[in-house]
Amino acid sequence: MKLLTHNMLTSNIIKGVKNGYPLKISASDVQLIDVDFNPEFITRMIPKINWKVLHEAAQSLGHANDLPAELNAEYEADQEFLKKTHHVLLEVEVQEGDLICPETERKFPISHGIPNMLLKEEEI
Amino acid sequence: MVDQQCQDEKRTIAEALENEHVHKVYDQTAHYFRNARYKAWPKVGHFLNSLEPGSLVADIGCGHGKYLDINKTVFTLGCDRSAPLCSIAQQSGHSVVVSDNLRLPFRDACFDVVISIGVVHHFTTVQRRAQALKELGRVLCPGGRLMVYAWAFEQKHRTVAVGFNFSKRKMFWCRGATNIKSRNPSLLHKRYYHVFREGELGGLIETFIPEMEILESFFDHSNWCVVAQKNGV
Repeated sequence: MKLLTHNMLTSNIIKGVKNGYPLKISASDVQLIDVDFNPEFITRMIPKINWKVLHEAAQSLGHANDLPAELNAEYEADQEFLKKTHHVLLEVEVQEGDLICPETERKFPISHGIPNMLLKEEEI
Repeated sequence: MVDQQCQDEKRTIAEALENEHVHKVYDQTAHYFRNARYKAWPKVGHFLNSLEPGSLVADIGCGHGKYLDINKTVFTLGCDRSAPLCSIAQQSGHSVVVSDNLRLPFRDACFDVVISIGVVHHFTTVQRRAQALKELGRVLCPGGRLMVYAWAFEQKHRTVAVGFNFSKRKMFWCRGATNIKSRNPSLLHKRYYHVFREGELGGLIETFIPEMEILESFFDHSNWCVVAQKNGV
């Protein structure tokens, strides 16, 4: 699971959960994969993501490095910044672990890189 | 109270039917998709290739992932109810999430584009088909576009649907049933399909997702296709 995917996931599908966002990540296996850097793609992606959530997720996995906690207004021209963003969005992959609902602590397993967000009947 | 019991009972029957004749069938036949070379339908491919670079796309009901890498300038997230199918897609290098179309685990308005190719026809009641479509609309951003394909009643090869009579609680095979040849040719897996009449899919979208405007509606590959856009910029 990439942190870009994590940025969109919520557990508010569980009955009674209001926000469910962001999900906490508990990872037992994180791998780094190489993805071609495309600065235009990253520049277009940044306004669509929740930056604070991305930064916190990267930090919780120990991969934030020196990624700034807040977006600089002139990020489009900053190649180094775009490269760092590319890395955390697309190259950090959680292989094994859990996504944890912030309100109920319900765990959604991540196995072989795939989060399983299916609910049990009593949770609907 | 009686109404509620009726609703609950109907939901239980619908869930059991979908579990047996949709979810289990895909799980059991997933290995077949691994080796099969299913081609992307050209009109879906064309739609995906026309997207702006950097778009965030969700393929809800992605199966083994044949639409996930059509356009390499966008990010496409695949979702499927079937874990074995998600696993095949993931092994091809795609990003996937096991999830239920009736309860998509995504925040509101986070995707630029959503596609649903051959999925909505697997829901057994009109309420569930509407709920599946509503979820697709919910996760779309304002101005975002949706493409939906669902099996058409008006097709030449009427080897389609498995019906179910809720009042009699009996399954019936109307107009034949679709089978996938499994590795063991003596085994046939029967999948449930609702077949859509002309105008039905667009009508459901207009009724249940009023914030969507229908841009196009056409017949393609024995399916009805609707392309719609969510209001707003």
